[in-house]
Parts: sequence; structure tokens; C-alpha cells
Amino acid sequence: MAEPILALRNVETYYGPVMAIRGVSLQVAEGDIVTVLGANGAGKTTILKTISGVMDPTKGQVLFEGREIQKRDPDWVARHGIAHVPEGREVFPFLTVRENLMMGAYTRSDHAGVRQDVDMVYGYFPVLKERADQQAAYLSGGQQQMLAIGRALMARPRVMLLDEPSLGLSPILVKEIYEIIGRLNREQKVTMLLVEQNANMALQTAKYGYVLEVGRIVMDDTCVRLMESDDVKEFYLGIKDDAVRGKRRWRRKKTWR
Amino acid sequence: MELLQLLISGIAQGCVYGLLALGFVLIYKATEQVNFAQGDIMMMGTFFAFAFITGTSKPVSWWSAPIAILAICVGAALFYLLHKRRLPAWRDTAASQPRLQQVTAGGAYWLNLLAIVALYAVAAIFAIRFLSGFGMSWWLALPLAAICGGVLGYTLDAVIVRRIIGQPQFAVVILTLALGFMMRAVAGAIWGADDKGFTTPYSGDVIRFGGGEGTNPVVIGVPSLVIIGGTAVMIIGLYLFFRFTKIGVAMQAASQNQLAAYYMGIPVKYVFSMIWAISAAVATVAGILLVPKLEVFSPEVGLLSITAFAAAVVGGFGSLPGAILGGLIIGIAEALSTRYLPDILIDIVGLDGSFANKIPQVIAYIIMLAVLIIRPQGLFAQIQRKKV
Ligand SMILES: Nc1ncnc2c1ncn2[C@@H]1O[C@H](COP(=O)(O)OP(=O)(O)O)[C@@H](O)[C@H]1O
Ligand SMILES: [Mg+2]
Repeated sequence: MAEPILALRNVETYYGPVMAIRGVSLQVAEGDIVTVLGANGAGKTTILKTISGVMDPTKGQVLFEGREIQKRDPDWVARHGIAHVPEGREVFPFLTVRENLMMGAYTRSDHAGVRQDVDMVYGYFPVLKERADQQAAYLSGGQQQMLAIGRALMARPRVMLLDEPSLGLSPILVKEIYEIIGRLNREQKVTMLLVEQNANMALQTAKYGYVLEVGRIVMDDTCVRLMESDDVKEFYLGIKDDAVRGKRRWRRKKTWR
Repeated sequence: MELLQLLISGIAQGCVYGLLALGFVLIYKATEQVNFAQGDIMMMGTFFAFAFITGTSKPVSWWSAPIAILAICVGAALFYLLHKRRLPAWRDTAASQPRLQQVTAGGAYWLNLLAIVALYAVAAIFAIRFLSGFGMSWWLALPLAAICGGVLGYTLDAVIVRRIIGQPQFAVVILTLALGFMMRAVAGAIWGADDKGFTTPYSGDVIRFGGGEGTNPVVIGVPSLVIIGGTAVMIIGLYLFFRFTKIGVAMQAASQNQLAAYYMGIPVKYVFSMIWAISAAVATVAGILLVPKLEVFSPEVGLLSITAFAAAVVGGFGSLPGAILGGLIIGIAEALSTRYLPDILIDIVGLDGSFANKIPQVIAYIIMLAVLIIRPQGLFAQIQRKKV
């Protein structure tokens, strides 16, 4: 594999005394979509916060374009090309849609480019253009998710971190959002690190995947192969072999345990 | 017609409360801290103006200019370095403590200390000049003092208050109260605790109209009108600033969702310190405009902020228009009740005179309590919850 654009090496991150990330290593190659799957509380959000500098790891390195960035401030990280689409949208509720997008471009000073990118975002999300002058609080959940993605796009990022973009959205909306995520990857050449509980959509969209359990990576492979894995099928995709069900369920153990 | 005079005087006083309340609300919305030093920052700013205005402009002795420039350069360089360095960033509350300890133990601590020492050097040299005064014109002193007030506010946050982010609320309250006491002591030590005043181009001017056979003319003090006009200008200026400048919108953003602001690369700590600076500069201008109306001021003038705090509560702590309206309500109520209420209480209710005369002094707090009981969210509260 070529030199990865983003890599974590043995990262450990604590909330006070609570160890949320227990030695995670992963790599994201330029141009790829890489996903981290994990149940609620596995530590997905913490991984992304550690990358974007909102939290500092106690141990390990975060490498971006070969440079250690784990000690950097969030504004430095954002300025240098990592944009974060936070869990639960986190739009600025009382700013207009347009102002939200402009805040995404806070670290940029090329006015012409910014104006161009606003139109680019409106191209991907026409509904944001219709509502450009409304406060973000009045958008629906799906529209807020689009705004959060568009806002991150405004930074012209090299890498985009996406935290559960499907959270709380209807299946149709989830599909729509994921289609656009795929298009952004292809058309705007944004590398993406995507963390999800919704393994199905993530595995279909991403190229390579990691499975996270209680702060540890327990499995990693290409998404095609992950989808074939019995463990992923049963525990993340909810597909169960009917004959096996019931009888063996209580005995069934994940192979990595 | 007496009523009109009272109203204008009350509105002017209310504008000052409103501007102070605005500072409370701006800082509270951004950081959820209540800055009880707000009034004392106003007091310091007013003394800066006093120092700039009084005295005669005489040539500076040959050595003080280079020393002042050198000290300012040292201070500025240190502050530049300070802000290049990592200060405790936003963290989940649980994670913030270890990080803070790390910073105080590390190099940034000594750098801070040095910066403070350099600041003292600057302050000492300026204090010498302050004592004799600069003899500037009021027109120059007003913006200069506002800038100095802003620098004071910025510094208080960047060097001191920011350090206790993540600590319980009462820590901030005690800290800002203590800072207020210290500023009062410093001002008293430098300038003395007695009443001071300075003249302005319009001190004592009045506008007179009406009045004919047997009726008194309406006499309106120009200082009151200047306060009202100045407040209007500042409110419009602040509105345009928050609405249309990039840093202004970023201030709103950081106040609405601090975490998301970090993700956008907004330098939240700097933005918050700038909000302190704006609050302090606005308070300073309010204090300077108030002087020709009251004719005197002293280090105790900062205690006005307690009334301004009541105004902020009445307006619904968290609403900017509410802060101004709350200030106006309390200013008008004070003016009217001082004139009419004692008579009413004595004649109609039959209260003792010495007691009735005291009621108008606490009318602000009576209104605050009434509002808290009837409408705890304040009269002009916006329906909003801050997401963090
Ligand atoms: N603010 C916090 N304080 C203390 N512990 C936390 C905090 N946030 C998350 N945790 C803990 O860290 C672990 C990982 O959380 P998180 O990264 O949010 O998981 P995920 O995003 O996968 O649902 C969880 O066990 C959670 O209990
Ligand atoms: Mg999460």
C-alpha cells in the first residue's frame, strides 16, 4: 500500500480515568473510503475526536501526510485539511444555512474559492440552497446532516471524518446521504474515514473496514470480505442462518474472542 | 414636563445599565461564565480616560519613552509567544483536569508569569504618567480608553479566567469577584478613593425649551442625550459586527456550539477572549459617558454592575435585546420611583419617611425578584437552549 494519508499508531485515549481507546492502529489510503464499525460505546467517536485534536491521546501517534499531529490544536488540524462531520450533526442552530457553510470555510481566506465552493455544496444539496437564509435549527434531521457534510466540505478538506451520518435518519434518507458520500469521494477526491453502527450501508460504500469493540480493533479486511465474514454478518449485519439460530445461539462466540 | 426630564434621565441611566448587562450576557452566552468584574472593568476604563484627560500635556521626560516602548515590545512579544503555544484546549469536562495540570506544570506557566511581569512593567511606567496625567482631548481619550479597557478585558480572560475552564461555576464567580476587588484596590492606590471628575466638551450643557407664563421650561441635560445617542450607535455597531463580519459570526457560532466551532477550526479561546474585550470596551465607553451626567466618579462606581446584573436577569439572561430593555426598564423605574414613590408611600400607604426614601434605592432588585417569581426565564428570553 502507498503511504497512507492518515494513520493511527497504537493510540490510547482516556476520559479522565476511563480508557476509551485501547491501542488502536489503522490506516487510510489517499482517495479511499475507510470505515470503522462498532457498537454504541465502542469508541468510534473518541477515535475521530483524537484525530481532529479535540482530545489528546495519552499514547501513540496520529500521522497525517506522514506528520505527527496528535499534539496539535483542533484549529491547526482543521486548517491543514481534516474536516470533521460530528456525530449528531452539531450545526450552529441560530446561524443561517449560509452562515453555517461560511463557518466551515473559517480557516480559508480565498474569497473567490469559498464562493465557488458554496455553489458546489448547493449543487450536491439543492435543498440547502432553497433554505440558505433560514436558521439551521429549522431544518429536518436529514437536512441538518446534509448541512453538516456541506459545512465540512467548505474547508476543502483532504480527509473528511464522518461520525455516524446515518444516525436517526430514515432508510431512504440514509441511502441518499450515502450516495452523496460516495459521489463526493469520487468527484471531489475527498478521502473519508467513516465510523458507523449501520454496518450495511458503510460496508457497501467503503473500500476497507475495521471492526472496533470496546476500544480495540478486533478485525480488519476489505469490505467485500468483511461482508462475507460470519461474525460481521451475525453481529453487525443482523443476518442469521435460520438453521443455526436458536439452537446454537447461546453457544455462538465471536471467533476473535 | 418634569416627567419628560425624569424619563430622559432614567433612559440615559438605563442605557448604562443596559450596556453593562450586554457585557454580562455576551460573556455568559459564550462561556457560561458570569463576569462579576464587569463593573470594575468599567471603572478601570473610566479611570484610564481620567488619566488621559487630566493634567497638562507636557513633554515626556527623555527616558520614559524608550523604556515604555521597550516594555511594550517585551510584553507584546511574550503575549505573541503565549498565544502561539498551546493553552488548555476545550476538552470534555472529565478529560480537562489532567490536561490543565499538565499546562500549569509546563513551560507555558513560566511564560505566563514572565508576561505578567512585563505587563506590570508597562503598567508601572504608565502609572507614573497616569499620576501626572496626559492632558489629552476628550475626543482622543474616549477611543484610547476604550481600547485600553478592551485590552484589560482580553488580558483578564486570556491570562486568568480561561485557566479555570472546566471548574465549577462558583469558582468563576469567586474569581471574578476577587478580580473586581483587586481592580478597585489598584484604582484606589493609584488615583485615591475620593471623588474624581473630568470635563467633557459638553459637560453641564442643557437644552431648554417650552416654559412661558407660570410654567417651568423643560431642561434636558446634554450628557443624558449623549449617553442615549452613544448607546444607539454602539448597539447598531455591535449588530453589524455580529451579523456581517467573519469574526463576529464566528463569535456567535462559538457561543452556540463550542464543540462544532472547534471542529471548524475556529480558534475558540481567542474568540472568547475577544468577547471579553468587546464587553470591556463597551463598558468603558458607558462609564466614560456616564461621568458628565453624574459629574463625579470613584473606584466604587463599578458597583453599578450589581444593578446591571439585575437588568440582565430582568431581560432574561441570554438575550442581547433583553439586556438593553432590562436596563431601560430599571433605569426608568429608578428615576420615576425616586421622584414619586416616597410621597406615595408616605401619603397613601402611611410608611415612615426614612423607610420610604430607601425603597427607590432597591427598586431594581424588587423588579428583579418580581420578574423571577412571575416569569423566571426573564421578560425577553428567547426560546432556545444552548447545545454543548
Ligand atoms: N465525556 C465522556 N466522559 C467519560 N466517558 C466517556 C465520555 N464520552 C464517552 N465516554 C466513554 O468512552 C467510551 C467510548 O465512547 P464513544 O467514543 O462515544 O463511543 P461510540 O462513538 O463508539 O458510541 C464509552 O464507553 C463511553 O462510556
Ligand atoms: Mg459515537
